[in-house]
Amino acid sequence: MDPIRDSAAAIARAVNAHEVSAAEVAETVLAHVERADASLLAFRTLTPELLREQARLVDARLAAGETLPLAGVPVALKDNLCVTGTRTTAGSKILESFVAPYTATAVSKLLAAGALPVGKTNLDEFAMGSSGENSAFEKPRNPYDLDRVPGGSSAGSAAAVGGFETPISLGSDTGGSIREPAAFCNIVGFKPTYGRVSRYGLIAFASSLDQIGPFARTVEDAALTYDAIAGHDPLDATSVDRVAEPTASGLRTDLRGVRVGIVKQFDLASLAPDVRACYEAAYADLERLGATLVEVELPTADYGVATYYLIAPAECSSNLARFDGVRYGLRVDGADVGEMYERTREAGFGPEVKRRILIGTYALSSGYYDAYYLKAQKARTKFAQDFARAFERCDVIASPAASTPAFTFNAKSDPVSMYLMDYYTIPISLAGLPSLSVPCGAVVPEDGTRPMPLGLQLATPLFAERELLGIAHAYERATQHAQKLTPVTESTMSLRAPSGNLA
Amino acid sequence: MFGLADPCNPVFLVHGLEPEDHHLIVVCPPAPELGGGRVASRERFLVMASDRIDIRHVAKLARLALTEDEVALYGAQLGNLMSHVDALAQLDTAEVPATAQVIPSRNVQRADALRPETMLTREAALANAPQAQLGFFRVPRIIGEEG
Repeated sequence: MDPIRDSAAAIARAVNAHEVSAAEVAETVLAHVERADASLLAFRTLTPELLREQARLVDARLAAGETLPLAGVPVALKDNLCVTGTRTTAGSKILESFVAPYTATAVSKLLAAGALPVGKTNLDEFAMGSSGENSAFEKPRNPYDLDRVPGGSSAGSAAAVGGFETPISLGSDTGGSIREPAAFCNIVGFKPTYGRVSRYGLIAFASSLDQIGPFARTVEDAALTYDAIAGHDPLDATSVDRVAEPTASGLRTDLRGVRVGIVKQFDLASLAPDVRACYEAAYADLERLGATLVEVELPTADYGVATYYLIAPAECSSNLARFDGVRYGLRVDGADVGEMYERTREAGFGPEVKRRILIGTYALSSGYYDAYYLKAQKARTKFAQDFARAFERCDVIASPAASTPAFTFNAKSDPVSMYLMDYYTIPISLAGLPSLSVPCGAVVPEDGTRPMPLGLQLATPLFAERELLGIAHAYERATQHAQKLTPVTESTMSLRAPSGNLA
Repeated sequence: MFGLADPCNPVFLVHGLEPEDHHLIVVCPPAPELGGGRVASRERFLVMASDRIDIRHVAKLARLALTEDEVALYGAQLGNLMSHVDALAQLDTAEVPATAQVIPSRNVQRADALRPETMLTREAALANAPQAQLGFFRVPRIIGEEG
């Protein structure tokens, strides 16, 4: 068993079988990450003490006869997830020295399942961005071309898994922040139904959209991770109080009887010819596996980005009002308390966060609320209705996860062009649906020399995570696209296929 | 704050004309290009809104001490984004209720009892404070000198 290259499922099997201890896995991975991250910059903070303490605990539990679903599986955590006693920055200067006084429920659950926390990963500041470039600190790089972005906002969590630093990680997705970086980094990124995973301990961006979810190199590993973190939590009032069916036991090998909806408005003709060909091939593969393709309508599709960029900044401006230099984080002194607030926030927030606070404040200000925020909430109802209608005719919707592969650093200087990166992911977020991106091929970008991965986005009705992961597994198993690329960071080593995904 | 009769803000809301919706009415003259004081359509309103964002005022509301360069930059970018957002006006939502929460939800209650596992000690609560004194958060003076 190789803890760097094997799947989470394979690592857990070996650790549960006492073939290797969690402590040995921890030391191997820590040494590897310390070396590999010099070029990837996925991590903001490594947590060796926490890692070793947890490894000892896991070994003790296994010695006492327990079997744990993620025994000894290294995990990277997006740095907007609080972990007691650990620096948690949200990628912002305003929280540069913040040490969390409590632990997020999703993290507690991962630890209870036996996972080993390696560290906290870089992100776009407060999870606002689609490239990782909005981090106030290190900007993570794409493991398949270090001159390109890994996507965002869960930039480091995607780079860590795509670059074979850890087999799994946690990210958060508000408008595409798990699915887009997963597509860019040749991995699986899964956003569960809104409310499925507790947001307790997740630093809030847009509370009606934020959802925690896993990254993994296989659908099976994403399912195992999701199964460990899903479920009702009394500490999050928006957490859904219904049983989260296990998904790892529902992985399919064919798609017979599955109706796949192709959204008429998501016209592939607008994509570059090679990107388009890749998605056409993906749809054909779904059909080859037994699925029936049906055209469905999403008449509101073109309003998604506009709707999102009212709702998310409005909620952000409200959530980030708490950063005022009083209780935690940066303080810049002023003559009175008002000046202290203004100087603290001016110095502590980066450009994208300020932009969104300004948009949100404007959209919520007196006289504009109805025209903007209320209008966007009504548009949101239309998205939910349109998807409900579409799912009368199909079981799953397939689309691109992003319109291009990963772009180079500084390629998108205009905020709106960056916002449009989330064109395919935002409508699904507005409707709260479970959705994932699974590798579906690669193209050589016009301005590049290496093939860069693309992701197929799949989405199912609310709470249909088991069906979603089952379908994605059948596609992954038949196509094996992720195995066809090798990260530049690992190109000198011979990679073998993860062994856990073909059971 | 914007008031209902704020002279910088010729648009205000009249509530209650219809139970499910609010009407936007332009009242302040002189705005002949809007039809001078008559009811303007929501679409007209949205198009014009992005042209006159008072970025300094918004920054004040948001408690951000922007530099002059930032005022120019964000003012332009915000205007550009709002023009993109204005396209929403074309979406007919007349018959549609607003959605704040897409998941079927109910009011959540719990027993009125202490939950020690979620409580911070005073020490832990103050550990991240920029300034603390005598067990409290210390802030600059809020109330003026006497006299």
